[in-house]
Amino acid sequence: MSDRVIYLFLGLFGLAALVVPLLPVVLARFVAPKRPGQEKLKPYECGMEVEGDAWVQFRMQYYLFAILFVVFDVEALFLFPWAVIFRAAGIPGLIAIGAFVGILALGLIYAWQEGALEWE
Amino acid sequence: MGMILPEWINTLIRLVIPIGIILALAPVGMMYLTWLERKVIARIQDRVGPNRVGLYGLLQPIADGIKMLTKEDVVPAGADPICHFLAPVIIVVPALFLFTVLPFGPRLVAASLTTGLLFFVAIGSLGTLAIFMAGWGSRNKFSLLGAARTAAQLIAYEVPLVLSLVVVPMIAGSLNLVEIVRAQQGRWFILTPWGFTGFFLLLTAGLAEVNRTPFDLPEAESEIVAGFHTEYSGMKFALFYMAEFLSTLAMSGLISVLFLGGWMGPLLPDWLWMSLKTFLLIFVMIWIRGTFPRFRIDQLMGFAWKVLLPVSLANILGAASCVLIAGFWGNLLAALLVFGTFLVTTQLWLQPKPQLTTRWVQVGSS
Amino acid sequence: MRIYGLELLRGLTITLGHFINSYTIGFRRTFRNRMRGQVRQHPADKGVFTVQYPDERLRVPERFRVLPVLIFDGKKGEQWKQETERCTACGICAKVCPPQCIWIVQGKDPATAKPVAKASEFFIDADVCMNCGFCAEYCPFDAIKMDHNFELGAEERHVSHIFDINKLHVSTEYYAETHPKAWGEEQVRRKAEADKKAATAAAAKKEAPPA
Repeated sequence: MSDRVIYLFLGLFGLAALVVPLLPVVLARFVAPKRPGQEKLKPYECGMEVEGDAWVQFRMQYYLFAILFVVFDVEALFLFPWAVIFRAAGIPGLIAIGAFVGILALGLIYAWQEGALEWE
Repeated sequence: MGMILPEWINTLIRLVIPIGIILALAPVGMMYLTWLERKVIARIQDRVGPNRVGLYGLLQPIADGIKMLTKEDVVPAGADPICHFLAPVIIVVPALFLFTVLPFGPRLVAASLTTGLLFFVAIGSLGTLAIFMAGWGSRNKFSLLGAARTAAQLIAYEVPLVLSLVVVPMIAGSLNLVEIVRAQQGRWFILTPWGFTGFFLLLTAGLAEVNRTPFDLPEAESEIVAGFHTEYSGMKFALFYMAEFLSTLAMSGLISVLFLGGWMGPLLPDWLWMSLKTFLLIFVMIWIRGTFPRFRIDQLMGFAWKVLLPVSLANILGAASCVLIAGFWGNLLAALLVFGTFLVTTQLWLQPKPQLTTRWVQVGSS
Repeated sequence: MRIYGLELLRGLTITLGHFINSYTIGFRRTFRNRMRGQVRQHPADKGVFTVQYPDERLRVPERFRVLPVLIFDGKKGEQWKQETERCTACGICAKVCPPQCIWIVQGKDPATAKPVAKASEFFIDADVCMNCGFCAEYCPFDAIKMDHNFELGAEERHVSHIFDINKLHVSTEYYAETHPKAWGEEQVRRKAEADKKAATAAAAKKEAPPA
């Protein structure tokens, strides 16, 4: 199969795959009982009275890790093309990518030193 | 056949058959995975496990399915109905997509993409989006907390996961999963120093990526009820489990393709070898679940960033040294690099923290 | 300097041991116990510990107590009669019962309609009973005993769980089977008491010959 046919296949697969989750949900709509109540539809809070809204700000820590993630995920993305031609690129390629990874590794060490990797 | 039917129908049939096979087998496989998991966990805990519904409890998954189908679907009043409805749908579809690129034989692969490995990783991380939608859409504190934790965990483990994969195309010279298995003709990748490390890195990061114990913080019952799916019931709840088990299945498949030689093996047919290896890995995952307690969130994040990430970077260097300095010395260097990094990072990560001392200052005594 | 992770591997071997033992030892043990007709559980045992309850039951200890039962002298399967009934309707059990769940009606002689020392009605509310066993301890006639039957589930409580005199009566044979040790001791004691009684009666007869 050529790549174009494969992408056509993946598109078809995506459409067909929607049936798997949708079919039981739709089926359940006919089979399952539906008895909503004011108490039942409240957000679950272990039986306590609901206090305040759930849609609140996140703590700073999450953003810090998200930024670290972006840095290293992009790095990984750049590593893949190099990995495929690794044998052809040889030592010069390794030095080039080594410098790239090394700078990021230094960044990781810096972040660690600064305490950015601590959760508390 | 070929002369009677026009070409496009022929193509269509060839496209539809694998779709049908995957969509029919994957849910069945997932259902029996729940049975297997319950059985193995039970045996580890000296119990018997489900054995009432059918022989050896084999009809238990079907009974569970019927039960789920007849349960009321509660949508909280304050929830975002679109988000709430779409999240379980969106989480299942990528999990199914993962099976399209997994080769069960040289020709038994639905989509032999040239970028198969990258496709797997890209599709596999879509689940985070659905989990966050579920957490946000439920408008529940536990759900949101679970979703935020999941996002933090998944992006933390995504990095070592992807970096542990890099070594495979370095040696195999291709991102196509079929080519990767072919490259293991003489020697499975797990038998090399970098492959051994890569296997364990991928297994660990993979466990975290599919939210399995000991990395099941998103659903930590004792802390945040059920995490992101607290407000889900009935069939939608079942879909989250379905996605989790499908991802587990696909992740085991990927590990066996990358490091355990995929379909290769003597005597038995291709697809059987591949299935056996996949189920062996699933057994290992269940075994790990039956052994270890759950991580604490700071340990979880620390482990990903402070141990797995440096070790996977060292492993890339190790793989490079294996190729460039061929033979014994290259292998030794690779092993030393990885083991040394592991030792240093674990020491640094787990070293006892200096005790905080309180200094009392008298107010207003200047 | 410590190598981390080795204890993790040790932990894995422990759980794998349990997994394998549950098949190898579990099978042998199950077979042996089926032969013996019982399921045993001991801390030193390995393998599967599950008791498959409705199919398999653990033997309860003799002193295990649930609800009180009334005893009549007879064989299993017999119907209790006023003559074989041990209860004398003295009401001590009802008096000592902490939650007050016993209700007794004194019986009448069917011929003369005079009250006799027999109970004609005896009720125990099974849901109020707290299984303390005071009634059995205090009974001077060995008429009320604690039973082993714990399968008392019912769909309502107001009829099924008010045990009446017919439901409460069990034979001495049944009691001897469930409580062999207590029954043996009781037999010895009753015999000694009877001998003593006979001896004093004989002595009284000798001392005071009929005028």
